[in-house]
Amino acid sequence: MKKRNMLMAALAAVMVLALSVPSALAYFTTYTTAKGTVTLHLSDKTRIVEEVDDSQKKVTIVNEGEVPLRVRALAFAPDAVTVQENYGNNPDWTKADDGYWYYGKILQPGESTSQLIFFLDLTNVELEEINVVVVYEATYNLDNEGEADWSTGGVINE
Amino acid sequence: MSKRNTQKKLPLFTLILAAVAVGLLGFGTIGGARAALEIFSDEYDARIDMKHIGITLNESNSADGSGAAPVSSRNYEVGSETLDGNWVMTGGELLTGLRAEIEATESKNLVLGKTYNEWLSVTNSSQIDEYVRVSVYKYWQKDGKKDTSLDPSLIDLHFLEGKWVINQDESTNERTVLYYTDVVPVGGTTDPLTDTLKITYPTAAKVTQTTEVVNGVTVYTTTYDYDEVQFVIEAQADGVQTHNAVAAIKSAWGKNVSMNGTSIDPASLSHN
Repeated sequence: MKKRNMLMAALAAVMVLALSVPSALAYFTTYTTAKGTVTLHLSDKTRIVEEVDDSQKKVTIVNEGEVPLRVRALAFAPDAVTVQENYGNNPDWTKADDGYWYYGKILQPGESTSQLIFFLDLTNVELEEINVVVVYEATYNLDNEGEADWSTGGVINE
Repeated sequence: MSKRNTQKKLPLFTLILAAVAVGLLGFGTIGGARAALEIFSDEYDARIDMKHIGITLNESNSADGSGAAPVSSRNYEVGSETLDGNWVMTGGELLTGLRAEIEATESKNLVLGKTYNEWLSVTNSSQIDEYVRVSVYKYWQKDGKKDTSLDPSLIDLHFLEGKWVINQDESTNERTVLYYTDVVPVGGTTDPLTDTLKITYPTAAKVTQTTEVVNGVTVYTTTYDYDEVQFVIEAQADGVQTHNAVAAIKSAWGKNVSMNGTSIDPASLSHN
């Protein structure tokens, strides 16, 4: 009994002393936060002027927006129609391995491209109506050198 | 045999221990009272050498990252009377410099694809050395609400590694968590953790197209509908004491790190 009482009393003393332990386990920490937003105004416009003259499809792209952009074009035609792309060999337009015609300059706000002409050879065509589609893409995503980043997607116009 | 003699006496030693226990309990109460007194006592305030922790997040929009200014901070200061005890907080709005730069341009528009300067760093505003980490969040919002249909990776905030280590397991397209391997000494500032910011245009942009035929000429006009969308950058800097670093970091950040001298081993930070 005596031993048990001693143990109980010792336990009480240890428990009281243990009260001070939790504070020693806390560490100094802190944090701070900040947040910021920027609004994008994307009320930009591109205008594509397409003129069909006899067997020529003449294309001009106008940047009516507020930021510079890059453009490219690709033509699709029925098998029976032979398309002579970039008729007149306009040096502003260059064909790449992916089949697109790339305009060599950055199109600044308010500027227009020079004409890209697709000449359609209709001599072997018996159809009354043919449909030649030219796809145009414009992108605002330019790197610091002004090269286009087409991987993030352009805006497609047909 | 009288009744008195049948009662068992407690041993003297047990009585002494019990008295000690009661005494210690009593001191516990007095301790609280003393703590209350110390707040009002100049004498005690002067004698206590408390160490305080604090952290400050800095931002710069200059080309070389110079002129970094604090945007937010949280420092422990004894004697300060704030709603959060002795924590003194300031800030914090990011991107104010960038907005001013955009506002100064003719179009007053952020140029998509252009690389802007956005330097972030952390200063130790403590009285003790500390380790720091930063969690950066980037996302889009429309009409004040988070818009998850737009990809956060189009907000290209460029992180600088070296002393900063990106934890890949904690990072997503939206969040990047970076740990600084070195001790940030009192008053010291970390290397910058970002340097540039570039916004590319969302692929899934909503556009309206109109077609008009005038005298055989077809005119296609494309207009963006996704106007007034906002991108958000959010940063949280955390600081922890360097004393007993492994246990302190485990407790504060839940990370098992290994030390390489006074630096945190980068290999223990890059994952998990």
